Amino acid sequence: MDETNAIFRALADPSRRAIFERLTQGELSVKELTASFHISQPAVSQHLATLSKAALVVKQRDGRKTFYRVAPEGLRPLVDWITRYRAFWTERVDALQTLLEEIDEIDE
Amino acid sequence: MTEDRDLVLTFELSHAPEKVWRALTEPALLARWLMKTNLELTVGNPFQFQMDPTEYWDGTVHCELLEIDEPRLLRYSWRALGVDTVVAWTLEPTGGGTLLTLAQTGFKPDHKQAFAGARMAWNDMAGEALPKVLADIA
Repeated sequence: MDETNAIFRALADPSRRAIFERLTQGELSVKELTASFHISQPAVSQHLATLSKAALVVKQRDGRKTFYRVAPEGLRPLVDWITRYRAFWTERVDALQTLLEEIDEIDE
Repeated sequence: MTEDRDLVLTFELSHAPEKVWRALTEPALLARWLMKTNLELTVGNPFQFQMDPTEYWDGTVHCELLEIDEPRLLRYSWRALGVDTVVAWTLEPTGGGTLLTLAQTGFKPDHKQAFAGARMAWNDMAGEALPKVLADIA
């Protein structure tokens, strides 16, 4: 449960959550993250350290640069397929309802 | 005792079952709310739903039509990202529309194994799902 608590704590902060979500789209350096979030580099590094401690992100050195990316199993203790499919279908059926309205307009 | 778990969702739609049925079965309409597909309404027929591929996933959901009862029931297997399930749509007429039930069944504990490599691909598929999940747990 310690692992889960660390993840909860790490993601409770909106900035950290934003950084984590950005990294789900691909790996980035601290510099690139700093540029896209308009917060100081030390603050970004601090957030990354917390995410790293929670095993949500991993760092990788490439020459003089350090890149961060989402850890492959990062969210595994928290989310499962049912949770994901529930969100997926709910969102899709929203789109279905919109489509049904549009079919009305075409038919009439 | 079973370790499978099911996902059941119901939606109230203000449109007749016949119309909802069209949206569930016509590829041109499916492409507009779910995914591109080559679905043909023949039981036993394999078909696919296709998303744009990503670095982590070819974007293909492999399906087989299992049962069809127009305009009441549509059931097909649904295999994507290492997870094997069955999706069933049930349509019941209500006063002004349709009670649409989605049941996705057959989730197994070992499906969590598929989770690791698939998470990023799934993120592309579900779009807003990750932020929602994150908001829920925060």
